[in-house]
Amino acid sequence: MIVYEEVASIQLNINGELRRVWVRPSDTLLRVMREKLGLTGGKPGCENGDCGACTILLQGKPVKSCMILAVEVEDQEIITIEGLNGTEIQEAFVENGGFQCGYCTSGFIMNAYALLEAHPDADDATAKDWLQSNICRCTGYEGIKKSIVAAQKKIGDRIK
Amino acid sequence: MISFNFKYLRPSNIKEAIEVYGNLSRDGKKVLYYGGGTEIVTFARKQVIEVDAVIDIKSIGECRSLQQQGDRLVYGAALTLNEIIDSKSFPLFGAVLQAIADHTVRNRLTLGGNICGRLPYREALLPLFLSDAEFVLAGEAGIRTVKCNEVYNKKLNIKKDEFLVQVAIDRKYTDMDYHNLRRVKQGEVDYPLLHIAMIRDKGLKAAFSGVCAFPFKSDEIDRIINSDSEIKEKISAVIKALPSTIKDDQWASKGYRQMLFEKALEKSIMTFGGDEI
Repeated sequence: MIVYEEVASIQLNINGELRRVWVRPSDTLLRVMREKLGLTGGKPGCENGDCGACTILLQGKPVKSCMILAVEVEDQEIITIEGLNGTEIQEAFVENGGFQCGYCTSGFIMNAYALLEAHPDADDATAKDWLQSNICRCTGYEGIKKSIVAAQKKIGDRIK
Repeated sequence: MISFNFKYLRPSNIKEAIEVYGNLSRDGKKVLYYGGGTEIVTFARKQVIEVDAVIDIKSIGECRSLQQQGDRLVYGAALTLNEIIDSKSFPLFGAVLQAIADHTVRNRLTLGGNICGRLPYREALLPLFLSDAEFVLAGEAGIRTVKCNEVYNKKLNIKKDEFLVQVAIDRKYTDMDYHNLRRVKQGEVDYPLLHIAMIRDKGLKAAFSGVCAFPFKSDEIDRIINSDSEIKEKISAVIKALPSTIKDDQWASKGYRQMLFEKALEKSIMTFGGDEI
């Protein structure tokens, strides 16, 4: 049985690197990444699982890191926005102005990346089902949608 | 950030989980079984709950199983809602779960969490009511199998030391025609003002969430729905047969919810199995 009490040292596999960190069992993954590992790409928005600004990939699936304890995910593969450098989805957001204030952007990119990895040919209904997990308070949804469509085309061209 | 600390334990089998729960409880500790954490983590952050220890059941094999055992389909309590949806094993189950929370949250939210948590909607129960599901519970007195309507009848009837291990249904229910209708205040990601699930099993059977303070299925309501009465008479009789008053909260007044319920139920009966088809 795995037991964590008081402060414990755990190893996290983040963006392909093994990082050892001291945590309390009640520390959320979001706070550990931001405050102890310097990975500030994931944003604390609502910290209630509603806004999606803290979205990361856990074992390839998008999850909200504000709702996960760091001790739960030791040895699982974590990808943050810092790990998506140079990807088609990042390029598409830059080229198509897929952001306004930018606070929600990392969450949208993480979720869209996961969507297009799982469903490169995602139709509108699938994309909507996945992406309504994220909220943009600037209401910049048109630019975000345009960016994701552009990324989907880039990925489609690469796969061909 | 969660302002207080707690102990985290992840047992690898049922026996360990029960033992550690018993030991901690006898020491006066407040202990919760922990699935995906979506509710416990957010409620702890808001200090709605305080807890001394959480027992994570995700490493218990039985809690993670999704398998066919003869004529039965077995779902572990620590399966995420998306794992059940993606299995396409029970279309009504998938349709009901797909409406809960959002896609990203459903990658963590577990079946056991939706049923045993503090939020009142427990929509995962609707297809389980309709398929007469059996619940496998584990506690200090051992493992017991109980019918869905005994585990949940206006409130959750699980002993304090017990946790939900699995849910099992007969496969015959997976092939039945179904209807699923959910209404929310705005957007698509929201708590339900009402949720109606129906299957055609000889007659129509219906289960409801959001209408009253708890989810329910009522044999009396099924009898009304399947009666020869005119549709308006059926709706009126169903309203009178509700097991509790209609919910009245900040999402919808009682009057608005009743109007919505009457229209939704009429639509459900008419489109799914009413005389008027």
